[in-house]
Amino acid sequence: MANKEKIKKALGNPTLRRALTNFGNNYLVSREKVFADIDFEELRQEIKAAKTEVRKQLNAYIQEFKENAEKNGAKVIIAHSALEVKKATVDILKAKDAKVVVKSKSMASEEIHLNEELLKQGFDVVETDLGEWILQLVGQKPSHMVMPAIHLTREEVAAIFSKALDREVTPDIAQMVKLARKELRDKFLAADVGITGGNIAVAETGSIFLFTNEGNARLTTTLPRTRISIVGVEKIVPKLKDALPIMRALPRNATGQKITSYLTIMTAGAGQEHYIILMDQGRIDLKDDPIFSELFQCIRCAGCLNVCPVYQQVGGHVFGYVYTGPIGTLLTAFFHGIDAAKDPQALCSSCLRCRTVCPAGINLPELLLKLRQRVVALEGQPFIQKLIFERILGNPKLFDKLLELGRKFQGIVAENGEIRNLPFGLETLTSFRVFPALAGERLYKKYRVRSRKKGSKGKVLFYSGCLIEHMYPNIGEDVFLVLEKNGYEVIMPDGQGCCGAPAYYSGDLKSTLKMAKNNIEAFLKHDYDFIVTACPTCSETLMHYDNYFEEDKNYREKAKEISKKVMDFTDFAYKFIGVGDEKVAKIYTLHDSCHARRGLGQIKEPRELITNTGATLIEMPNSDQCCGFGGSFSVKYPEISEKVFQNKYQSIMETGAEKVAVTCPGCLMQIEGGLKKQGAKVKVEHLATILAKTYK
Amino acid sequence: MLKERFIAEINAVGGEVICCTTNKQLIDSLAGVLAGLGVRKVMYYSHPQVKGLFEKLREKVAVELLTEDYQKIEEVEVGITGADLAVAESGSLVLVAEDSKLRKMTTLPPVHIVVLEESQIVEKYEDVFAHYAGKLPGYLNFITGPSRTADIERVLTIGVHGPGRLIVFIKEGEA
Repeated sequence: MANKEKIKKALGNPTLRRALTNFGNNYLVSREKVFADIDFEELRQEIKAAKTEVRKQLNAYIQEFKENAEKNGAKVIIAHSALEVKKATVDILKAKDAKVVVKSKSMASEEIHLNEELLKQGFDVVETDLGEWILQLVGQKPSHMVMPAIHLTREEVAAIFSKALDREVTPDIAQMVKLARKELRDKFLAADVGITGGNIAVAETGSIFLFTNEGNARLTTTLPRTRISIVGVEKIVPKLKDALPIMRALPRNATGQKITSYLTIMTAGAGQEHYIILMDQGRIDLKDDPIFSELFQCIRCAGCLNVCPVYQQVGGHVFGYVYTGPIGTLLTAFFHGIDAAKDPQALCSSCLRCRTVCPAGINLPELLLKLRQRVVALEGQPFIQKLIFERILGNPKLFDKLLELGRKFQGIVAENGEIRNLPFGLETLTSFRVFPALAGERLYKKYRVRSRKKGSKGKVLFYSGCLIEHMYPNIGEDVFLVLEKNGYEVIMPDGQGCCGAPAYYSGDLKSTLKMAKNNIEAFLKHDYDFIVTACPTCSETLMHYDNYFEEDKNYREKAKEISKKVMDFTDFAYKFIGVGDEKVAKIYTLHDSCHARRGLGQIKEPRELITNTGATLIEMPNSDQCCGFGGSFSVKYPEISEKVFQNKYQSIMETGAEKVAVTCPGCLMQIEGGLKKQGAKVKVEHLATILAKTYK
Repeated sequence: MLKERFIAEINAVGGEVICCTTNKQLIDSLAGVLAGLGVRKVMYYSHPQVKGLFEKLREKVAVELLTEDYQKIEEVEVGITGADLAVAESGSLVLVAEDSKLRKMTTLPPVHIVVLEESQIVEKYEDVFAHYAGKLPGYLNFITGPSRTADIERVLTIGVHGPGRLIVFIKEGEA
């Protein structure tokens, strides 16, 4: 099934979206609660340090683990490929003359499709984790690493049970859990071999840690006379003390629990034969990858899925393979090939939320972009996208000319400055939001004719960015007003163009560099103390220019010069700007733009600025959740963008505020357009506009 | 303080706690709980905290009190054990379970009762590992509340594979 069809199917399942969204919202609350008594940053550093140490000397730690586990009586097998893992498992099962095999949840075994192989070989293999068992009965893959059957409703589960057990099962959750207990208990008692995964493997002691809530791993490692643990080599930590931060972070981040109901630490057979299969399957290569080696640090908590606004809408099956969500997309590229990750990688809207919760400190959004760059390098980009980035945005003069033409002819689709419906297959773009028409006059033209003031405090180069330049020049004028009232001279360079973010976030580094060079040259023609922009994504992009020119020393140095002068308007205002005499007596709620909050770390700044004007601020729930815009994301996936926006809409309406404050013109376009389409009376204003009111 | 923290944490995840100050009180409450459960087959493990209780317990409650060697464990309704330690930070009971009979007794029956001395409660995970001084037992369990699942529609349901009830008796004061 093509990706778009899968998305359509997933979005057509309101129960899935409700379950994932409810879970996502509850997760944030319980996660915050269980981390209240713990320093998350410290844990993150400890996990990262332990995993980095293993990564650097993996072979030595594999050997140390093997020696210590074997000293305690286990048999350790090192298997490099999926085939080798399967063969080792089958060999053990045959040697033990096994018939019934029980399994507790293991993503490693899912990754290599172990069950298919065991069934083919004639073993009666049964998953005992409730979610995994349900999926086994219906022949599906997990849609979430920790909660594999989260996509199914109770009615669907009842239907699956009815069919599998050949009797009527009512959709009563407590009863169905009881039924699973009974059915699986019989399997446990009959089992010859138990197979588990492993959450932590300690080299120093040869121990394996298993976390479960149901208790099935305890039974799997107790009742059959033989047990096999299949453990990815990345689960190894050097010392017992290195297990501590994972013990604390894993359950907290996975399900918002301090610890799971059961933690089992196996250091010896303790009445059973114990086989441990250490699985490589691409991990050893991964650890040496110059860009993606960080992925080796992952502890498989699924926290990044839990907070992903796109995952919350489409669920795991859209990702197509075993691992889902942000980390899943990246792991899929390594374990199943880059082709398998081609579609899923495009789903990331770069909202940066996953990065904030990763307990291993993996920069997931950045790695997803690097993966996107690899995909684009291999596959190329869609024709229109390539044309826009390379020929149009990469050439500001042409871009401006085209937009002049657009201004003349937009009357065909625009009315009263709004575009409510677009024809020719572009309908989905306006299905849930109204687009603003291009402003009658671009900001630069307005700048050229306005009277300029010399300032005593310094000279600010205002970088407008595409949206403020062409759609919302009024925001730019508000910035001018506020800066000038506070004693700053404002200049705008001729020839500034797109910052490059749309190309960068689409994996087109080449076009990004072209746009960056253009802006750098335009800026360098002037003297200034600061470069200010009123779009956090532009700010971030300009600040990172020097990183993009890795291989061009000349431009890297030039970029460094300009990057260090860049300041986002919100930060600039917080640091240097006061308010005027007029009071803004309105009730606002604030939407935290992804790149403002997480990219630039602005939390208190916009809030204090708003309340300083005399306005009342009411917090909306999940104020930092993406509005669904995500730049080019909302053009590629308007159907997902719409659903993500619906959550934002609910949050806004719950506050009862008269206005929504934003600090990003992209979020403004999405939220204002969405609210208008819903017929809501709530207005959206940029922070610069709110501050400007105090001088009007 | 450790006791209060332990109780708060284990209560938060559905574990039940009964505090007693004397052996007599402990036996009386245990008898009361068993009578209240309406169970017939109760199995106990020869941990030092529980071993001495059963002679008197037999006089107080009409249940079969079976030792760990009883074979038909699937019929047993309650498993009574001690614990090696308890951890305040997470509300966990720490059980060395190298004996698979102990593992079965604490996993298969619908109710698990644990008798704990207050002095066995330590503050954090580090203390547990320090207790075993780098030499971990062959099979070590942290048990924190009853068996639970939320695999269907994220609805919390208790007692899927392991016990649906976990009842902890804490004997207060220094041992």
